[in-house]
Amino acid sequence: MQRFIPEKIVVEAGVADELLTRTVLDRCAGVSCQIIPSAPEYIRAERQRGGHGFEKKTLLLCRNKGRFLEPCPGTREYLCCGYMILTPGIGCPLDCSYCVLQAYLNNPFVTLYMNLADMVQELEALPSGIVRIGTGEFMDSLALDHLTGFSKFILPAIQKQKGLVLELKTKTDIIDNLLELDHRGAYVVSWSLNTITVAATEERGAAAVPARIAAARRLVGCGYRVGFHFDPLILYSGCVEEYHEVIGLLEHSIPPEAIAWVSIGSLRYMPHLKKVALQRFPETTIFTGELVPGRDGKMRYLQKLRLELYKSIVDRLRRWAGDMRIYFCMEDSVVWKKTLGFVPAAPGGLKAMLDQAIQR
Amino acid sequence: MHAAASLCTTPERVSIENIDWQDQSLSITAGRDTKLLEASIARCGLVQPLILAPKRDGRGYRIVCGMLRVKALIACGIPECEARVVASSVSEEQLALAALYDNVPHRDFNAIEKARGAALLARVFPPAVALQLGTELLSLPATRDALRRYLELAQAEELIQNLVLQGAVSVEIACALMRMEAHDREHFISLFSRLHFSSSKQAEILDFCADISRRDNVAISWVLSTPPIAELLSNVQKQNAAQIAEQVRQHIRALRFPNLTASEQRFRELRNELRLPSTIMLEPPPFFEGTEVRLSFRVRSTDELRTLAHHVAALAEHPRMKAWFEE
Repeated sequence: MQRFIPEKIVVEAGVADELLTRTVLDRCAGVSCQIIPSAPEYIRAERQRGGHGFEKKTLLLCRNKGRFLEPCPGTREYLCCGYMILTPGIGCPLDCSYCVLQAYLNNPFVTLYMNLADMVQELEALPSGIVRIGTGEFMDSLALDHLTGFSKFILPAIQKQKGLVLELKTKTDIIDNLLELDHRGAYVVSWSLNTITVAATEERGAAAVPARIAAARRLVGCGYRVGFHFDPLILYSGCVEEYHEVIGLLEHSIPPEAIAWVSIGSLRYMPHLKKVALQRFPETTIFTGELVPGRDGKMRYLQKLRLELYKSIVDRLRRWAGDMRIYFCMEDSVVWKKTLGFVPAAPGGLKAMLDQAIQR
Repeated sequence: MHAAASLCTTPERVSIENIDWQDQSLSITAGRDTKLLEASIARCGLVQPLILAPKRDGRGYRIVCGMLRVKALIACGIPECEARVVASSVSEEQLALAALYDNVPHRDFNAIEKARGAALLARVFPPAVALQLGTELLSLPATRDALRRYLELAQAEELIQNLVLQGAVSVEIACALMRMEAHDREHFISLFSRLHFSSSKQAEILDFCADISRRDNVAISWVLSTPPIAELLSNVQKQNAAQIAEQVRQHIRALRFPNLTASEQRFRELRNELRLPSTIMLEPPPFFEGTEVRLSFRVRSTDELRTLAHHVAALAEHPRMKAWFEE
């Protein structure tokens, strides 16, 4: 895949001297750069200018004035894994047609927070014990790692705290920095996987599925534990065979004991995403499935259809490795029971199950 | 933007022949007849003089205020009337404001008049000013999107504008129709002209048809030509229109959500097989998410309560009910 290089970098004056800022600017030599007094003002002005879309070619480097760490909001209606979200930035150079960020980000730029010291401070304040945190909620964890070196910079802070594990979730094959790290189990690197068709048609800018799996294989060779997220599953004619094909590729490349977890989830989104996404990607057909409102207000495939697909994928994974740690993202006890045959104890059962997978 | 002073000229007699009433550049009037005005002119003459602007080519006048009055004068066969003719130096902005303010105090604009007003404002003012004036004078929502929709509507073909004027479709639906291919548009114009749907149901129908079109790679109006719907549409009478409208909607929904409608049908069959009395209601979970059914009932006495308990106990043992939970 092509590595992202911005066409323009906008730097908030207050972070111009930060280590991360200097690193990004060094690696983007020749890219036009503008210093601005205030990022929020700049974003506001851009919005007033009426730009409806995303300025994915502009990289905004600024200070995060809010918190870096938040618990995953989850919902009461579906089982949640008790994840903590670390936010090194928002917006993503990849452009997936189903991306929920399209519907609620009011900042059109790919934005990175440069005040790393504040982030480290928050990590140090975490309670002791096993904590799974991840950076893949508001952006791809590795899509900008070749520019920021974030995975190198943050490693000491993660390693310092026993029990803390950072999941780097990606659709890229940008693993060069990771290959050089003495990680000692501080990272689980995971890939969002989809069928080859969905990856090619809906995940613009992402690596092809075989390239993602090849990258995972290389990291397994370096002693990393890896994870895979079949999420969002997209239903279409022939999709089951194609999902099985991807599991087949995994089976040939990754030893099951190196896999920390595999999660499964299907397309879900707040209803207004459809309109926004169709304006940006009129050719997509992903919103034509039988998607109905779920108990959390998000649109989901009819449960009957989700169950059929989940059962088929779980069976295929189980045929490969019977003890594979499989979990569902945002599904209810009916789905767990009918596909995996058990329901994690509430509250905290799913969290405990995943925490167990990453004990260092 | 202070137009009033420069428009105050002394009234003069103008020949109707010299008024270019086909020049609609300052007119926003739509969907209004002139009968009342004709009666007024016949009885009292023209009470309020027209406001006219000299045409740039020097041949006659454009109407700034009084399009309906001119039409009424023509209908009454009156060859000349009193008018204030503004100086040729008066700006287009001032003329546009005069045209709008002439109407604002004494009538509510219909959607097409709002659209034409928006188009007039957008033609002569910068976008931000047009947006502000659109809100003030035309009561448009204060958003760029709303202004964009009305500007789109101003460009709509007469057939669509008439549907809006008749209240058969909303501004949003009219805009959606305009974005369709001509062939598809004709089908939906025909559907919405013949059958009444609420605006939200029209939006739902268009949304479902667009999804089916994308999913099955067919024209958006293809659904309307499928056998059950085409047959229903060929039998529309005044007395069965509401019923047919609902049946058409249900057919489209079934094509869009075949599994959901099959689940609904199965649940209806389940209810029939359970033979519950009419005082006991059994509802599936919303959109069949989960297995939790809703059981509700009405009782008026302890005897009825005992009977109800008997029914509920029997329900728990019914093989079809058990199968529902185990499915």
